[in-house]
Amino acid sequence: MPFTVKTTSFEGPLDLLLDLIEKRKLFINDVSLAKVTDDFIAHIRQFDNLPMGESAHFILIASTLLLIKSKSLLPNLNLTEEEKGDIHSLEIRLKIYKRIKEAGINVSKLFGNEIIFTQSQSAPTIPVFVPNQDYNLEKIRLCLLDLINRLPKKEKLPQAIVRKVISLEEMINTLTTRITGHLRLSFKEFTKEHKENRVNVIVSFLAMLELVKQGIVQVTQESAFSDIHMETKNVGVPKY
Amino acid sequence: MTNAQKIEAILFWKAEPISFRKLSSLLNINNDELRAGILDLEKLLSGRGVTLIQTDEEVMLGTAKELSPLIEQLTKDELSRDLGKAGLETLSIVLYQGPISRADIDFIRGVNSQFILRALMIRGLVERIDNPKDARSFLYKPTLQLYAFMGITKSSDLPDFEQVQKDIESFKSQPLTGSNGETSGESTVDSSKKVIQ
Repeated sequence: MPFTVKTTSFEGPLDLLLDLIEKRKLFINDVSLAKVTDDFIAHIRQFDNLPMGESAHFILIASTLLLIKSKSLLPNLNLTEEEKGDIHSLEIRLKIYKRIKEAGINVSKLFGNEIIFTQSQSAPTIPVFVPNQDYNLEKIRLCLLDLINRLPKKEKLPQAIVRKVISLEEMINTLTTRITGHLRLSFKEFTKEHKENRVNVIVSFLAMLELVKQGIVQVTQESAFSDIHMETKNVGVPKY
Repeated sequence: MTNAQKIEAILFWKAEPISFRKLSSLLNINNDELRAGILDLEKLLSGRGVTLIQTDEEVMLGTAKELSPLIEQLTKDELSRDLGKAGLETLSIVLYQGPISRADIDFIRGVNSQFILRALMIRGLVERIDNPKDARSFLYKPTLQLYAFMGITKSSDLPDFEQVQKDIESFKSQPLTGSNGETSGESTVDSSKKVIQ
């Protein structure tokens, strides 16, 4: 079932995703997928009155895209095997879908174009009703009763409350912990964009010291004058 | 009388699809001899007004596709050529990847294909068979009618049939990409697309 978004209609999330990637003339890989994540989500936000079944497909793809984008923004993020598998799976699916679409061009050209006709039916057979010899009125009556008993009855479906497995808030908290728990940056990396201006480096250094004082960040320096490594790891009390 | 002639006669008389297995038993020949006979018949019929259409299991006679306009004038049937996007996608998958389960079709399309498959089955373009590997699910494959409607006499007549299957196999056997976004080996089919950053 196609959903109209402005003037284009898409068959499903993969159709939309492929379209976004091809519009930018990109190959299918996690870099390009990260790039089109925002577009994809913007698009699905525009759908109103999407039937729940269909929207589930879109949300599933959107969640994998968000995973890919998160990974591209936070390279140190550790993905579970399942998450890596989901990302890999999405890339494969998109490639296969694209290949099938290309093949489909040939199919649509051939369909109904030069038709091979098969032998038409010759003489139509006149049906003759030949009931079994031992059919009698009683048997027919019993058959009919049986049929009536078998007619589907309107059932009241038992309703169950869908058990809450995990709430959205809990999930958000878990994710936040995961992401903030593993931020690791070297001082050099942190300041490399502002190196030209010495003042910026000094200000960055002071900021880092402040973060250490507040117990948000932990720093290590291997040897004198070597690079300083900052990391957050649920640091509470600052260590000196 | 050669096998080719016997097969031709049976197909003409039957006026409907017949399985290779049935033909083998009717003619009392083994599969290899049957296939050889079919091949001979194909050659004999090339350039004629009549042709053979075959799937992996069945075969029948039909008019040559070049004569389509002529016969179309004579037939009173309404020929619906409208497939729709869903129909086209699903048919392409069944044609190039069939026999294939509904779950696998859904995997490729990213949507539920239950309804479109049913519609295609009603039109006689797709048929459902038991899955030998899984008693609970079915496999979907193209019908002789579909081939006939496309002017195809056998699966290898489909454009790029082998290439598409090879490409898809290579996508599936791709290793996982590196964790920092480096691209895996792309078997790109379209070298015309450029990366614009």
